[in-house]
Amino acid sequence: MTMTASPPDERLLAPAPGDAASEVSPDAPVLPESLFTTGDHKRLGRAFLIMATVFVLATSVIGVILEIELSARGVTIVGNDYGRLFSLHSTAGALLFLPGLFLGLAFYVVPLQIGARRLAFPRVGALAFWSYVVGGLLLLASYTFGRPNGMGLAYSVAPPVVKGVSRATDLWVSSMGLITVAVLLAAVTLFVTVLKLRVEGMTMIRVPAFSWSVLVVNAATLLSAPVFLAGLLILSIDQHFAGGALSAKQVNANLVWQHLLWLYGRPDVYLVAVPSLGALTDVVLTHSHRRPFQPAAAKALIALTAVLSFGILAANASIERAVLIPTPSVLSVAIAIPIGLLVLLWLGSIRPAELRPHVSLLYLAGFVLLLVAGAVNAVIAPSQNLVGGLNGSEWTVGQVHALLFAAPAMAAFAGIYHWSPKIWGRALNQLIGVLQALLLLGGFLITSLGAWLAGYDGAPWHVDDYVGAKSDHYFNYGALASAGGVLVGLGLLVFLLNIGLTVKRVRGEHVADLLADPWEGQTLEWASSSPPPAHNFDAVPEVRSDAPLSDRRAATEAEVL
Amino acid sequence: MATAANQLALASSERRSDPTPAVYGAIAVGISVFVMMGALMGAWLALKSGTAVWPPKGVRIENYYGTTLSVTMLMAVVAGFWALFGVRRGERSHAAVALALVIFLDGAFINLLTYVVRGIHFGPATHAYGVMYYALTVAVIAIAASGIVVALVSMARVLGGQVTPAEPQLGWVAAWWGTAVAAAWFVMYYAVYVGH
Amino acid sequence: MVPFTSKALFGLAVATMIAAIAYGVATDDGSGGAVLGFVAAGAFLLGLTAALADADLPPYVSPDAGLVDVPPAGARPSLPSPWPLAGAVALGVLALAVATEAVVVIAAAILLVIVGLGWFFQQWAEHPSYTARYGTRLKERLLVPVGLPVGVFSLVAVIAISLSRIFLALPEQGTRVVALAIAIVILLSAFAVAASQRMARTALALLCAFAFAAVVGAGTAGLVHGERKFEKVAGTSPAAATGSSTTSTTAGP
Repeated sequence: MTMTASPPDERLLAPAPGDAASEVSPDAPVLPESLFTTGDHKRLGRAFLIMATVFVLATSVIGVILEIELSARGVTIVGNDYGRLFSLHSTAGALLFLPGLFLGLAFYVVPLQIGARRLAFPRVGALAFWSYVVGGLLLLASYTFGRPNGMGLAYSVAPPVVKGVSRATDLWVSSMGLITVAVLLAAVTLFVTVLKLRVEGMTMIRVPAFSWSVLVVNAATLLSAPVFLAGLLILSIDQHFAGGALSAKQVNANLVWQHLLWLYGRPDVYLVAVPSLGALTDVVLTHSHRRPFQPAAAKALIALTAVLSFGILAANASIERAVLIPTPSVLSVAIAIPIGLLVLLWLGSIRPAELRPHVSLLYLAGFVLLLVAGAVNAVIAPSQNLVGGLNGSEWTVGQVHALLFAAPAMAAFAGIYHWSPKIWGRALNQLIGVLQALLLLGGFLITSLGAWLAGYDGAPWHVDDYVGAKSDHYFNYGALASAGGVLVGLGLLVFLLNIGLTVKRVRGEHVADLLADPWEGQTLEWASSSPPPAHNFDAVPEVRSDAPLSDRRAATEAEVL
Repeated sequence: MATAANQLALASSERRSDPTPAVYGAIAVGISVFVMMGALMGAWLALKSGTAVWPPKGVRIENYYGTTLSVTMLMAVVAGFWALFGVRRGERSHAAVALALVIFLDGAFINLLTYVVRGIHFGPATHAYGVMYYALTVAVIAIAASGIVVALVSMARVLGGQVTPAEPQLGWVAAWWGTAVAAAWFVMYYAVYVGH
Repeated sequence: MVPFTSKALFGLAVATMIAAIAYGVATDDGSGGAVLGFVAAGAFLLGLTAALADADLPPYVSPDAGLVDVPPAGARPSLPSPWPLAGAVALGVLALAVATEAVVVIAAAILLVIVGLGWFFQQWAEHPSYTARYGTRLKERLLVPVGLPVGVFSLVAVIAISLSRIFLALPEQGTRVVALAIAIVILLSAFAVAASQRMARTALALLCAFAFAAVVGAGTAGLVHGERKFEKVAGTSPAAATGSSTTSTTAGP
């Protein structure tokens, strides 16, 4: 595919006759293209990635400060604001980082993978991005509005404390609502994009694993996020008017909040595993030069992960009459089955002799290592006497960090490094990527280890200070966790540095054709230039299997011979 | 890549862009709205089972208003599909009148619902029933207002000649979104007027 | 034939429905079962939608046919638009309204209407049937006769309300000073604009926008701060104190 020096004006490109949806009035006013006016999925995707990283840096700094406070006796950096900052760290971390990161990857990669010129609803996608940014900023600002009501603001099981009108609480709830609306808008955009905008010949079985996982996760989001929105609506009215529907005095109030929170929360935290699995499947197949092995099976396993994520509702034993059958351990284990089988599929796809060493595989290894560490701890924990149980001790913090935050984050970065030639026109520096991987993996493991050890030793969770005979031990574990947090923060800074250096280099260079397909990819995104033009493709290789570029290469070689 | 293979497979005139993503997007959002209302209903049932007297003493729910609101909403749905019928047959006047009727009926629905709320003599601060009643009402009013917006946009574009039998997607969007609005109302109707 | 996507969604529907029934049987809580039931229904409807939207069948290709290139899917990329960003800001104002005063809801509603209109008109103008002549006619017959007076009135109202919020928030002496200062600023700015030989339109627009933003921002701050305490004058009612009259006049034949 040849690349012209400057892409032609889109409006000069004659639409295909009869292609009414492609036509635009020649008299339509055209505004200058910029980040603030764009509907280009590629720009939006990059912006999502950057914003998600910035948000998580902010929350990570707060997390480190909180751990430092628990790292030694008498350390009081934040004092009475511990609860408020803990709430900020957990809420913003859960809502703003991984969803933003995966939405960024999805926005950028999915239309390219399915051979589309654009998203189904580009402006709705732009609205989703800006709502995410505004909602995120308002969420962070809500903690400066005033003192929230108690510690009940944490994005956790505890029912919200209703003490009357509080502006901080009101803004916290409404900003979470705005972020949820943003996620829903993005979900409908991506769902319809994969459903309706696939190039001719690309059936669902032939859709690349990442795009399939995006379809599945967004379908699940369309079904789970509205439940959370309903909960936020009730909470908003209750908090603002002090109606008492969710107060401690109201019978079943706990049940209401838990149902509505967890029918989003539990699928949500496991749903981030779904695009992880899709991205890593594409990474493995590309760098191992293997065609998809049993593509239907891989897709079925990814879909099964999403289905089972709805079943993890009962995983938190302190939920009063959880929404699902109260056998949490069975369902918590069940989700490991499709993930484990997929990991086996990946391992089965790798032939060491043909494997291209790429930094994204290091992130994949980190993902698997974190899963294994979490699984091992899940096996050990029931035999220990954890204070607060499996779902109320410091051990839980370690498990949450390792399985629900760190592992998907490693998968997301694997995808970012893998698709970096498409995203930034040049592959991100691999050495810096290795450094980042080691910092992140080491940081996540050390942070989680500190929490696991504290939990096994009987440390309670969600406290701003340790007291008692074992407090010195707990402070040591806190210091360990702080060190891990610092490493994670450094890793994120290294990532931003890598992007900065790459963008700077690209600006000064002419992009060569060689970069269009540096990994000898199999799927359609590698058929376009790097970075792709505004309209993505002039023409797309015909799709007759799940590896159209491999088919094209094989046909070309046959012709040459 | 070898140039021999790089030929366009089909003549351009044989490929049409699929105009229906908007329709399926509207349906997907409508399903989300339906699930949201279901969640509110679940909350209603949970609080109801934990409260001895539900609705609280002194709260009177007039079935007459519920029935009137339901009939209004059903009429709006029928009008929406009438508009779609007009669009598909190229009858602009039918489509425009039907959409105007949708706007009028949704407006009447909101008007009656706010009248009912004004007359109930309790607020969201009074008790848990009040919180849930207002949560359901706010949700339904917001959804009905969005129905007016969709119908307005469709009507304007029908009148402007931009919605035609060749490009009927806005007609479909208006019809299906009207159905979603009605479904949202009927969840509230069941919770408040039937299930109490 | 059921498409692959629909199979996954129907599977979710079945699993969730089984969960809803099992939960209802295992506990006496109907609410959880209801919520799960709605999710199951939603999954089923989404699966049905996917089945209708996409037959998921590949076109027939002769086994001997060589690989060719095909046109990409979807319409051309959309033109730039400021309305998504404006819409997000409007939604942000709505979210802020929940935590501030009810009047901010009105501001949010107005912003949302503006965004909606702007978005609508941009979509309208991009349709192939739109022509510049049609746009001019629309502007002359609808936008200017209706939009101009409404827009000007709204602008004046926003400025007046913002100024009133500023004055109500300040102490009495401060009000006089600020009023005088505003009058002087307006006078000097108008003098500068009138006296300049050639002022770029952009510069003038930016100046006005800055002034508008400053007034509205200060007004919002005054609104959040709240009104100052007004002292009641002893022995008089507020109406008499302000000198208002309640006499009415009737017009004779």
